[in-house]
Amino acid sequence: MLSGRFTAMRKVSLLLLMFLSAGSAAQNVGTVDTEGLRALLGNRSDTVCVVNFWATWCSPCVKEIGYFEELHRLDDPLLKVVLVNLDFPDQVEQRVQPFIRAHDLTAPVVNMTEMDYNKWIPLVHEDWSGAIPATLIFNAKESEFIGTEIAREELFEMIHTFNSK
Amino acid sequence: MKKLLVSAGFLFVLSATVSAQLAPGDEAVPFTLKNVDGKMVSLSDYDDQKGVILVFTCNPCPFSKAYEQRIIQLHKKFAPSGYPVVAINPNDDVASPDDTFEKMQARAAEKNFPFPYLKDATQEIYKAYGATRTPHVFLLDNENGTFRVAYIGAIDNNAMDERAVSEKYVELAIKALENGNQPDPAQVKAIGCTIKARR
Repeated sequence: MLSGRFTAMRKVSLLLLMFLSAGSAAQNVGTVDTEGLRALLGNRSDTVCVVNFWATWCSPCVKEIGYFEELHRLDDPLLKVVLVNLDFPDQVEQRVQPFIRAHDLTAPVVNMTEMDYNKWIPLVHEDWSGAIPATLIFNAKESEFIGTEIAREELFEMIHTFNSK
Repeated sequence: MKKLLVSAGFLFVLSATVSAQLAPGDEAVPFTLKNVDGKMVSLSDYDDQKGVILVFTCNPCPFSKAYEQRIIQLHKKFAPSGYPVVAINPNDDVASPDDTFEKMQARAAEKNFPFPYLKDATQEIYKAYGATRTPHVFLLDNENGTFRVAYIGAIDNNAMDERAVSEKYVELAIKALENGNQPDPAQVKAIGCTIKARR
Protein backbone atom coordinates (compact mmCIF):
# COMPACT_ATOMS: atom_id res chain seq x y z
CA MET A 1 0.00 0.00 0.00
CA LEU A 2 2.68 2.38 1.10
CA SER A 3 4.95 1.40 -1.73
CA GLY A 4 1.99 1.80 -4.12
CA ARG A 5 1.46 5.35 -2.97
CA PHE A 6 5.16 5.99 -3.17
CA THR A 7 5.21 4.73 -6.77
CA ALA A 8 2.24 6.88 -7.64
CA MET A 9 3.93 9.91 -6.12
CA ARG A 10 7.10 9.11 -8.00
CA LYS A 11 5.10 8.87 -11.18
CA VAL A 12 3.51 12.24 -10.55
CA SER A 13 6.80 13.91 -9.80
CA LEU A 14 8.39 12.27 -12.79
CA LEU A 15 5.58 13.57 -14.98
CA LEU A 16 5.95 16.99 -13.40
CA LEU A 17 9.66 16.92 -14.05
CA MET A 18 9.13 15.92 -17.69
CA PHE A 19 6.53 18.65 -18.09
CA LEU A 20 8.82 21.26 -16.60
CA SER A 21 11.80 20.24 -18.65
CA ALA A 22 9.76 20.17 -21.85
CA GLY A 23 8.54 23.67 -21.11
CA SER A 24 11.85 25.26 -20.23
CA ALA A 25 14.74 23.43 -21.84
CA ALA A 26 14.65 24.49 -25.48
CA GLN A 27 17.61 23.16 -27.41
CA ASN A 28 20.64 25.33 -27.92
CA VAL A 29 21.30 26.11 -31.57
CA GLY A 30 24.49 24.46 -32.80
CA THR A 31 26.67 25.73 -35.60
CA VAL A 32 27.84 24.32 -38.92
CA ASP A 33 30.46 25.56 -41.37
CA THR A 34 31.48 24.34 -44.83
CA GLU A 35 33.44 21.39 -43.45
CA GLY A 36 30.67 20.47 -41.04
CA LEU A 37 28.14 20.49 -43.86
CA ARG A 38 30.45 18.41 -46.05
CA ALA A 39 30.69 15.85 -43.24
CA LEU A 40 26.93 15.85 -42.68
CA LEU A 41 26.14 15.40 -46.36
CA GLY A 42 28.90 12.83 -46.84
CA ASN A 43 27.71 10.58 -44.03
CA ARG A 44 25.74 8.15 -46.17
CA SER A 45 24.21 5.10 -44.52
CA ASP A 46 20.93 3.22 -44.30
CA THR A 47 19.56 6.13 -42.33
CA VAL A 48 17.45 8.51 -44.39
CA CYS A 49 18.82 11.97 -43.70
CA VAL A 50 16.58 15.00 -44.23
CA VAL A 51 18.42 18.35 -44.30
CA ASN A 52 16.20 21.42 -44.51
CA PHE A 53 17.62 24.91 -45.15
CA TRP A 54 15.54 27.69 -43.61
CA ALA A 55 15.52 31.07 -41.90
CA THR A 56 13.14 32.82 -39.52
CA TRP A 57 12.65 35.66 -42.05
CA CYS A 58 11.60 33.24 -44.82
CA SER A 59 7.82 32.83 -44.53
CA PRO A 60 7.46 29.74 -46.76
CA CYS A 61 10.19 28.11 -44.64
CA VAL A 62 8.33 28.90 -41.45
CA LYS A 63 5.16 27.47 -42.98
CA GLU A 64 6.72 24.06 -43.65
CA ILE A 65 9.07 23.72 -40.67
CA GLY A 66 6.42 21.89 -38.65
CA TYR A 67 6.47 19.01 -41.16
CA PHE A 68 10.17 18.44 -40.50
CA GLU A 69 9.58 18.62 -36.75
CA GLU A 70 6.84 16.04 -37.20
CA LEU A 71 9.27 13.75 -39.05
CA HIS A 72 11.79 14.14 -36.24
CA ARG A 73 9.17 13.26 -33.63
CA LEU A 74 8.44 9.95 -35.35
CA ASP A 75 11.56 8.93 -33.43
CA ASP A 76 12.50 6.53 -36.21
CA PRO A 77 16.08 5.25 -35.72
CA LEU A 78 16.49 5.10 -39.50
CA LEU A 79 15.45 8.72 -40.01
CA LYS A 80 17.51 11.79 -39.17
CA VAL A 81 16.33 15.40 -39.50
CA VAL A 82 18.68 18.40 -39.41
CA LEU A 83 17.44 21.99 -39.75
CA VAL A 84 20.21 24.19 -41.17
CA ASN A 85 19.35 27.75 -40.18
CA LEU A 86 20.47 30.61 -42.43
CA ASP A 87 19.73 33.59 -40.20
CA PHE A 88 22.88 35.65 -39.74
CA PRO A 89 24.90 34.22 -36.82
CA ASP A 90 24.46 37.49 -34.92
CA GLN A 91 20.67 36.91 -35.01
CA VAL A 92 20.70 33.52 -33.27
CA GLU A 93 20.07 34.85 -29.75
CA GLN A 94 17.54 37.50 -30.79
CA ARG A 95 15.56 35.58 -33.37
CA VAL A 96 16.42 31.90 -33.76
CA GLN A 97 16.36 30.81 -30.10
CA PRO A 98 13.01 32.52 -29.43
CA PHE A 99 11.62 30.96 -32.64
CA ILE A 100 12.71 27.48 -31.47
CA ARG A 101 11.00 28.03 -28.13
CA ALA A 102 7.82 29.40 -29.70
CA HIS A 103 7.57 26.50 -32.17
CA ASP A 104 8.83 23.94 -29.67
CA LEU A 105 11.36 22.61 -32.17
CA THR A 106 13.16 19.49 -30.98
CA ALA A 107 14.71 18.57 -34.34
CA PRO A 108 18.36 19.66 -34.20
CA VAL A 109 18.94 23.20 -35.48
CA VAL A 110 22.39 24.28 -36.64
CA ASN A 111 23.23 27.82 -37.72
CA MET A 112 25.41 28.26 -40.81
CA THR A 113 28.49 30.29 -39.91
CA GLU A 114 30.19 30.37 -43.34
CA MET A 115 28.96 33.63 -44.81
CA ASP A 116 30.56 33.06 -48.21
CA TYR A 117 27.60 30.97 -49.30
CA ASN A 118 29.11 30.18 -52.67
CA LYS A 119 31.61 27.97 -50.81
CA TRP A 120 28.97 25.53 -49.60
CA ILE A 121 25.89 25.96 -51.83
CA PRO A 122 27.37 23.64 -54.52
CA LEU A 123 27.90 20.92 -51.88
CA VAL A 124 24.14 20.68 -51.43
CA HIS A 125 23.25 20.53 -55.11
CA GLU A 126 25.06 21.78 -58.20
CA ASP A 127 21.95 23.52 -59.57
CA TRP A 128 20.85 25.10 -56.30
CA SER A 129 20.58 28.88 -56.45
CA GLY A 130 20.68 29.15 -52.68
CA ALA A 131 16.99 30.07 -52.51
CA ILE A 132 15.16 28.82 -49.44
CA PRO A 133 13.32 26.80 -48.45
CA ALA A 134 15.37 23.94 -49.85
CA THR A 135 15.57 20.34 -48.70
CA LEU A 136 17.98 17.52 -49.38
CA ILE A 137 16.95 13.94 -48.61
CA PHE A 138 19.52 11.17 -48.93
CA ASN A 139 20.69 7.77 -47.82
CA ALA A 140 23.55 5.52 -48.98
CA LYS A 141 21.84 4.75 -52.26
CA GLU A 142 20.41 8.00 -53.54
CA SER A 143 19.54 11.59 -52.90
CA GLU A 144 16.70 13.90 -53.77
CA PHE A 145 16.92 17.71 -53.80
CA ILE A 146 13.84 19.91 -53.47
CA GLY A 147 14.65 23.55 -54.22
CA THR A 148 11.18 24.85 -53.40
CA GLU A 149 8.47 24.65 -50.79
CA ILE A 150 7.21 21.18 -50.08
CA ALA A 151 3.73 20.04 -49.08
CA ARG A 152 3.42 17.77 -46.04
CA GLU A 153 2.00 14.87 -48.06
CA GLU A 154 4.74 15.21 -50.64
CA LEU A 155 7.45 15.16 -47.96
CA PHE A 156 6.03 12.13 -46.15
CA GLU A 157 5.52 10.32 -49.45
CA MET A 158 9.15 10.92 -50.37
CA ILE A 159 10.40 9.59 -47.03
CA HIS A 160 8.17 6.58 -47.48
CA THR A 161 9.64 5.97 -50.97
CA PHE A 162 13.18 6.24 -49.59
CA ASN A 163 12.40 3.77 -46.83
CA SER A 164 10.87 1.23 -49.17
CA LYS A 165 13.88 1.10 -51.47
CA MET B 1 9.68 56.33 -85.24
CA LYS B 2 9.34 56.80 -81.52
CA LYS B 3 6.22 54.62 -81.51
CA LEU B 4 8.10 51.92 -83.37
CA LEU B 5 10.94 52.01 -80.85
CA VAL B 6 8.52 51.73 -77.96
CA SER B 7 6.76 48.70 -79.40
CA ALA B 8 10.08 47.07 -80.27
CA GLY B 9 11.15 47.56 -76.66
CA PHE B 10 7.92 46.04 -75.46
CA LEU B 11 8.38 42.98 -77.64
CA PHE B 12 11.87 42.57 -76.32
CA VAL B 13 10.62 42.64 -72.76
CA LEU B 14 8.00 40.03 -73.57
CA SER B 15 10.47 37.68 -75.20
CA ALA B 16 12.96 38.19 -72.40
CA THR B 17 10.45 37.14 -69.75
CA VAL B 18 10.28 33.71 -71.32
CA SER B 19 14.05 33.29 -71.50
CA ALA B 20 16.27 32.87 -68.47
CA GLN B 21 18.61 35.39 -66.93
CA LEU B 22 20.59 37.78 -69.13
CA ALA B 23 24.19 36.67 -69.48
CA PRO B 24 27.34 38.78 -69.39
CA GLY B 25 27.77 40.34 -72.83
CA ASP B 26 24.01 40.61 -73.45
CA GLU B 27 22.44 43.95 -74.23
CA ALA B 28 20.75 45.52 -71.20
CA VAL B 29 16.96 45.82 -71.20
CA PRO B 30 15.78 49.46 -71.29
CA PHE B 31 13.41 50.57 -68.53
CA THR B 32 11.44 53.56 -67.38
CA LEU B 33 10.29 53.26 -63.77
CA LYS B 34 8.98 55.54 -61.05
CA ASN B 35 11.47 56.80 -58.52
CA VAL B 36 10.67 57.44 -54.84
CA ASP B 37 10.66 61.20 -55.64
CA GLY B 38 7.73 60.60 -58.01
CA LYS B 39 9.74 61.23 -61.19
CA MET B 40 10.30 58.65 -63.91
CA VAL B 41 13.85 57.36 -64.40
CA SER B 42 15.05 55.62 -67.57
CA LEU B 43 18.19 53.70 -68.34
CA SER B 44 18.65 56.09 -71.26
CA ASP B 45 19.02 58.95 -68.72
CA TYR B 46 22.45 57.43 -68.07
CA ASP B 47 23.66 57.47 -71.68
CA ASP B 48 26.42 59.91 -70.73
CA GLN B 49 27.76 57.61 -68.00
CA LYS B 50 30.42 54.91 -68.42
CA GLY B 51 28.12 52.40 -66.83
CA VAL B 52 25.41 51.73 -64.27
CA ILE B 53 25.47 49.58 -61.15
CA LEU B 54 21.92 48.21 -61.35
CA VAL B 55 20.88 46.65 -58.04
CA PHE B 56 17.62 44.78 -57.52
CA THR B 57 16.96 45.15 -53.81
CA CYS B 58 14.14 45.66 -51.33
CA ASN B 59 13.23 46.92 -47.86
CA PRO B 60 12.75 43.94 -45.52
CA CYS B 61 15.19 41.25 -46.70
CA PRO B 62 18.00 40.84 -44.13
CA PHE B 63 20.55 40.56 -46.95
CA SER B 64 19.32 43.80 -48.53
CA LYS B 65 19.52 45.50 -45.15
CA ALA B 66 23.00 44.14 -44.53
CA TYR B 67 24.15 45.48 -47.90
CA GLU B 68 22.35 48.86 -47.73
CA GLN B 69 25.34 50.80 -46.48
CA ARG B 70 27.67 49.05 -48.92
CA ILE B 71 25.37 49.95 -51.85
CA ILE B 72 25.48 53.60 -50.73
CA GLN B 73 29.27 53.36 -50.52
CA LEU B 74 29.48 51.84 -54.01
CA HIS B 75 27.55 54.84 -55.35
CA LYS B 76 29.68 57.36 -53.47
CA LYS B 77 32.87 55.66 -54.61
CA PHE B 78 32.01 55.04 -58.26
CA ALA B 79 29.40 57.65 -59.31
CA PRO B 80 32.13 60.31 -59.60
CA SER B 81 34.05 58.09 -62.03
CA GLY B 82 30.97 57.34 -64.13
CA TYR B 83 29.34 54.28 -62.52
CA PRO B 84 26.32 55.42 -60.47
CA VAL B 85 23.97 53.05 -58.65
CA VAL B 86 20.36 52.62 -59.75
CA ALA B 87 18.30 50.54 -57.32
CA ILE B 88 15.12 48.75 -58.37
CA ASN B 89 12.65 47.20 -55.95
CA PRO B 90 11.08 44.22 -57.78
CA ASN B 91 8.85 42.85 -55.01
CA ASP B 92 5.08 42.70 -55.26
CA ASP B 93 3.25 44.89 -52.73
CA VAL B 94 0.77 42.20 -51.79
CA ALA B 95 3.30 39.38 -51.45
CA SER B 96 5.64 41.71 -49.55
CA PRO B 97 3.73 44.48 -47.74
CA ASP B 98 6.98 46.11 -46.57
CA ASP B 99 7.82 46.97 -50.17
CA THR B 100 5.00 49.36 -51.04
CA PHE B 101 5.96 52.59 -52.82
CA GLU B 102 5.28 54.54 -49.60
CA LYS B 103 7.53 52.25 -47.56
CA MET B 104 10.23 52.55 -50.24
CA GLN B 105 9.98 56.34 -49.94
CA ALA B 106 10.32 56.08 -46.17
CA ARG B 107 13.38 53.84 -46.42
CA ALA B 108 15.06 56.01 -49.04
CA ALA B 109 14.51 59.08 -46.85
CA GLU B 110 15.62 57.35 -43.66
CA LYS B 111 18.84 56.06 -45.23
CA ASN B 112 19.27 59.15 -47.39
CA PHE B 113 19.80 57.10 -50.57
CA PRO B 114 22.02 59.14 -52.91
CA PHE B 115 20.71 57.12 -55.89
CA PRO B 116 17.25 56.49 -57.39
CA TYR B 117 15.16 53.74 -55.81
CA LEU B 118 12.69 52.63 -58.48
CA LYS B 119 9.58 50.49 -58.23
CA ASP B 120 9.23 47.69 -60.80
CA ALA B 121 5.46 47.88 -60.39
CA THR B 122 4.58 45.53 -63.27
CA GLN B 123 7.48 43.18 -62.39
CA GLU B 124 8.45 43.08 -66.06
CA ILE B 125 11.93 44.49 -65.63
CA TYR B 126 13.30 42.08 -63.05
CA LYS B 127 11.95 39.22 -65.14
CA ALA B 128 13.53 40.64 -68.29
CA TYR B 129 16.89 40.80 -66.52
CA GLY B 130 16.36 37.45 -64.88
CA ALA B 131 17.01 38.76 -61.39
CA THR B 132 16.04 36.25 -58.72
CA ARG B 133 17.46 37.67 -55.51
CA THR B 134 17.54 40.78 -53.39
CA PRO B 135 20.18 42.09 -53.62
CA HIS B 136 21.14 41.07 -57.17
CA VAL B 137 23.59 43.23 -59.13
CA PHE B 138 23.75 43.75 -62.89
CA LEU B 139 26.76 45.90 -63.74
CA LEU B 140 26.05 47.58 -67.06
CA ASP B 141 28.85 48.81 -69.30
CA ASN B 142 28.14 51.64 -71.76
CA GLU B 143 29.72 50.57 -75.04
CA ASN B 144 29.37 53.52 -77.40
CA GLY B 145 25.80 54.22 -76.38
CA THR B 146 24.69 50.63 -75.87
CA PHE B 147 24.47 49.25 -72.36
CA ARG B 148 25.72 45.70 -72.06
CA VAL B 149 25.74 43.43 -69.04
CA ALA B 150 29.31 43.11 -67.78
CA TYR B 151 28.83 41.38 -64.43
CA ILE B 152 25.92 39.62 -62.72
CA GLY B 153 25.57 38.52 -59.14
CA ALA B 154 26.73 39.19 -55.61
CA ILE B 155 28.21 42.46 -54.33
CA ASP B 156 30.93 40.67 -52.37
CA ASN B 157 31.46 37.40 -50.53
CA ASN B 158 30.21 38.15 -47.03
CA ALA B 159 26.72 39.53 -46.52
CA MET B 160 26.78 39.78 -42.76
CA ASP B 161 30.24 41.07 -42.01
CA GLU B 162 31.82 43.63 -44.30
CA ARG B 163 35.15 43.33 -42.48
CA ALA B 164 35.33 39.65 -43.39
CA VAL B 165 34.92 40.32 -47.12
CA SER B 166 37.80 39.00 -49.22
CA GLU B 167 36.27 39.38 -52.70
CA LYS B 168 34.61 42.66 -53.67
CA TYR B 169 33.10 41.34 -56.90
CA VAL B 170 31.40 44.55 -58.10
CA GLU B 171 34.43 46.73 -57.38
CA LEU B 172 36.70 44.24 -59.13
CA ALA B 173 34.36 44.20 -62.13
CA ILE B 174 34.36 48.01 -62.40
CA LYS B 175 38.15 48.08 -62.12
CA ALA B 176 38.38 45.50 -64.92
CA LEU B 177 36.16 47.66 -67.16
CA GLU B 178 38.23 50.73 -66.31
CA ASN B 179 41.33 48.83 -67.42
CA GLY B 180 39.65 47.80 -70.66
CA ASN B 181 39.18 44.19 -69.56
CA GLN B 182 36.12 42.01 -69.13
CA PRO B 183 35.31 41.26 -65.49
CA ASP B 184 36.53 37.92 -64.18
CA PRO B 185 34.50 36.46 -62.59
CA ALA B 186 31.70 37.88 -64.75
CA GLN B 187 29.09 36.02 -62.74
CA VAL B 188 28.90 35.05 -59.05
CA LYS B 189 25.77 33.53 -57.56
CA ALA B 190 23.84 36.30 -55.77
CA ILE B 191 22.96 35.48 -52.18
CA GLY B 192 19.78 36.92 -50.72
CA CYS B 193 16.02 36.60 -50.47
CA THR B 194 13.87 35.38 -53.33
CA ILE B 195 12.08 38.10 -55.28
CA LYS B 196 8.41 38.07 -54.34
CA ALA B 197 6.33 37.59 -57.50
CA ARG B 198 2.66 38.51 -57.72
CA ARG B 199 0.56 35.51 -56.76
